[in-house]
Amino acid sequence: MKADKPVLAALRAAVNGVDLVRFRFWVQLASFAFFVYGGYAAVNLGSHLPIFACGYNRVGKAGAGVCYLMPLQHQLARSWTTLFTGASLFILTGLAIFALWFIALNKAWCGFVCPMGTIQDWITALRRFVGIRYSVYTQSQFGWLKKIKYLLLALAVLIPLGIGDGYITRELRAPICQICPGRVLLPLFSGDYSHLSIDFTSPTTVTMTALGVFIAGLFLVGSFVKKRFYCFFCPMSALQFLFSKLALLRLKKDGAKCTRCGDCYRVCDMQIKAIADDVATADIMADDCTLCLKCVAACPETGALTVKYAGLTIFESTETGFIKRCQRGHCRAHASR
Amino acid sequence: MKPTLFAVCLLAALPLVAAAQEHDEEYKPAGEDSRPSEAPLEIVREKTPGEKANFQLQAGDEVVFVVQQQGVPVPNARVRLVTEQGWAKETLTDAQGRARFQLIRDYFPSWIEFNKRNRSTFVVVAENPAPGAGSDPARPSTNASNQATLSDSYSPSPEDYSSYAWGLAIGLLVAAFGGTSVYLYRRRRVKPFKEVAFHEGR
Repeated sequence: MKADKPVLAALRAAVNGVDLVRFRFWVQLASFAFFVYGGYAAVNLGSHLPIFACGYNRVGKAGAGVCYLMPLQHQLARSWTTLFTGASLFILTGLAIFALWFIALNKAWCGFVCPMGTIQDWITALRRFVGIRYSVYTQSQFGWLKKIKYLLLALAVLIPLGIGDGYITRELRAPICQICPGRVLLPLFSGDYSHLSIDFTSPTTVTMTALGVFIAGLFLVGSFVKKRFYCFFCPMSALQFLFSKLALLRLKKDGAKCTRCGDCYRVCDMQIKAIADDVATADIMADDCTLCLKCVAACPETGALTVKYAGLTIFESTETGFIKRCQRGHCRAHASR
Repeated sequence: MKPTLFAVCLLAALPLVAAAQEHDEEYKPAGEDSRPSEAPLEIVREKTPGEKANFQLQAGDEVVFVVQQQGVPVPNARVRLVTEQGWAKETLTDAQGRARFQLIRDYFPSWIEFNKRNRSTFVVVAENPAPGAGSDPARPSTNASNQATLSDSYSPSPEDYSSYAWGLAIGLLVAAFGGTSVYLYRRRRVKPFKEVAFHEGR
């Protein structure tokens, strides 16, 4: 046992001193390639994934799985006599499978795996390379903008229910998919540009396809000037937060060790002020958090922020780790751009 | 180091993107590797290269039919294609027994009634003189011919109801407008302070 301790300590020090920027870059790149092109290796993780692995990315069945919002909307669009009987078991089963996927990584699906999050981070890197300053929301703007994702989640549920019983036209099926920038942008990576077109079949299809392209354009511009612009409005983020209390991966804060330096807030792509201000709450992960762990990497106080998996600490803020990352140039220089 | 490795990964990804384009299946003309048919006359629609299992004919497609007699292509057979609305075109098969038609747009509803999944049917009729005195020995005839029909359907072409031009225009307009707005907002904030001073005369 004593012989193990130095090894364990060395491993822990290596992990806590990791170059998170580089680690995250490679994980995101590998995840992007996997979920956009994994179908070519016949990988199919199903259609209950907690990320925007787009089901429209279907040229040669390119993707390795499908975002859960797509089947959820289609399943909810069934007639109420089917939906509110024993047949509703398929929705509950689907939700359970989604929850199982989600609780494995909590919101780190957003910060490390989601292809749309990865695209936004690449656009941010481009903006940083060009030398353009990023934009921020004011606190009041932040307050009301973060509610939009819950509204979109509600629409993702209510519109299909309305379709199911004939109150709403079937042309509005999967409404979130129709306006999602993922539907327009992700198939482009496998050579499918068909979703850039406007469908003039009916007034509804014109509106929805135009809205989809409009939001895709907004996504590109917004991601360029605001870090993780789309994640504020992501209905998947809202759905995930409903299950976050069950997740195995947790972000914890020890308020007693926090010196309120504010570095964690400065590096946070989602502008979550509570990560710096709240010294009372231990379970500090907010609904907007993408668990990118930049706050942990930027924190100079040992043990103030920790990442636990099933109760075991796997990554924590340390002074030595902070110094190492600063020497690599990943500290406040990153936060200021 | 990181940018170089990233560039290598990007180059490695290019074959994946190329592979994502539709491949041509190995194309076999009708009649090869198939069991000889015993039908006195039949019409076979020739598959297009790269045709998948869920292939659907669309308006504007060129469709090729092969007329065969007991498995052997028949040259100079009369072939007529008739659409649901009554449009018809007649041609003769070539030396390989092939007759080509271009499916015309046959569906002109009002915008509200337009259904992009509408299936318009058509029928292809092939006729060829038959040897001998006909199939009924009790009633011999001087002229006999075999006639075969084949029906199928086609849907409206996406070019009739979808527009890439509008899609790109909207996307680029949003990007340009958004980018310009952000730029002008940021420029506004760096303007020097100006004030108007009133000098009251004596």
